Amino acid sequence: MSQSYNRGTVEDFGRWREFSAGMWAWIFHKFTGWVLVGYLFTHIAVLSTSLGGAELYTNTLQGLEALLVVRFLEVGLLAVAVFHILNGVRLLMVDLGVGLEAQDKSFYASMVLTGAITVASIPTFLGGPLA
Amino acid sequence: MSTQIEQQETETEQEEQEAEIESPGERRRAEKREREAEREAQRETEEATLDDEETVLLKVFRYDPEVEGKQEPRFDDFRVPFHKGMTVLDALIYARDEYDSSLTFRHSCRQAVCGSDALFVNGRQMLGCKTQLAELESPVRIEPLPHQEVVKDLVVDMEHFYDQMHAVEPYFDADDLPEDELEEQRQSRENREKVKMSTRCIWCGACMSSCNIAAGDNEYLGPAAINKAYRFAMDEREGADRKQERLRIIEQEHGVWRCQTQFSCTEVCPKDIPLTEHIQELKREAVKNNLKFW
Repeated sequence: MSQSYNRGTVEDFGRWREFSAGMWAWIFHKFTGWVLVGYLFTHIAVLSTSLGGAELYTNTLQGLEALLVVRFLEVGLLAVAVFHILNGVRLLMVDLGVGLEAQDKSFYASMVLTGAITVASIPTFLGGPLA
Repeated sequence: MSTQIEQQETETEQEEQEAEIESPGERRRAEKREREAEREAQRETEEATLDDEETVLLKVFRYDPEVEGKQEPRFDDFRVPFHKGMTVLDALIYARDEYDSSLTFRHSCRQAVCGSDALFVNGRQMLGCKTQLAELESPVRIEPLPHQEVVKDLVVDMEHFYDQMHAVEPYFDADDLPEDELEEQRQSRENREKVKMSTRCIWCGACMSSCNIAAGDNEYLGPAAINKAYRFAMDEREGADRKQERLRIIEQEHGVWRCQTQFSCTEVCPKDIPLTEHIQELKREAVKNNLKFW
């Protein structure tokens, strides 16, 4: 609604310190969703290099994997995907009306699980030799 | 303790003497005067000890578009004596009565029934009369409800909220009425239990103010209105036709489907109504209503 004056941090995301679990889950779900959409396009771009022949495709992948920043981005992508999946399951339960009293706990659980899986994935993603 | 007992004894003696000469009305008035004097004395002693008592600092949002010099929103500080059991509303009333009579806020029943005093206290929608000061961090920041036009100080324009509430036709309207108009329209215990929580709504508007979606989409019915729709759509006495009409209202574009289950409304509701749960159930009802595989 329009305001006749500026109420400062009350009206916008400046209130983020006061957000509750459900609100954070919503924000993270939106954010991870957009990241995954963005990744989808880069994914298609990389895959489509295979149309230029097997060698080009191999070179592209090897070139990307040689970059340390790509390795880190892969860890980030996994974290984003895992959270989106887990919170998606949580939202499915909410839609079915199952365990709505525990919705905040299930959000925290999905955060913890995401963190654990991400940490466990680090050796795999960062382990192999660069170049 | 001993002095109190003595007092009572002398009082009853006095009463006996007075009863002989005075009429009952006069006697009652005299008693009333006595009680008042007693209360006054008690109040005085209480006030005398105020100075060395605990106080609470309030930071209250002030704004008055009609007075020049108050058109710029600001926060005023009030230091209010604290007593056990004091609520946010009590503190505001004290500040208004003792310090600044222009401080404006809505209140009526002071017991969480009328729904007048929903406020934004320390960054959360709460009922002023139901919130204990002792539970709040100091200083206590009191603002009008967000996402609503401020009329003055802590008073917001509730018109839009009421419009949304009326949009769902919040009244009992059965398909068929009993032949004899004096006959009761009984509800089963199970059905009553189902709608019980949803009947508790006091129209305070805290949920609507907390809802991120309602803030961005002015046409969204909002949690309170949908909860009202739930209360009647789930009432078995209304009949299938009326339920269809009710579902048509709530399954529109700006109806239940706008809810994105942030649970903000459920968390701020002063009557602990499981709003998100009700909205989700209506979503399922709407789907079941439209998807028929037979």
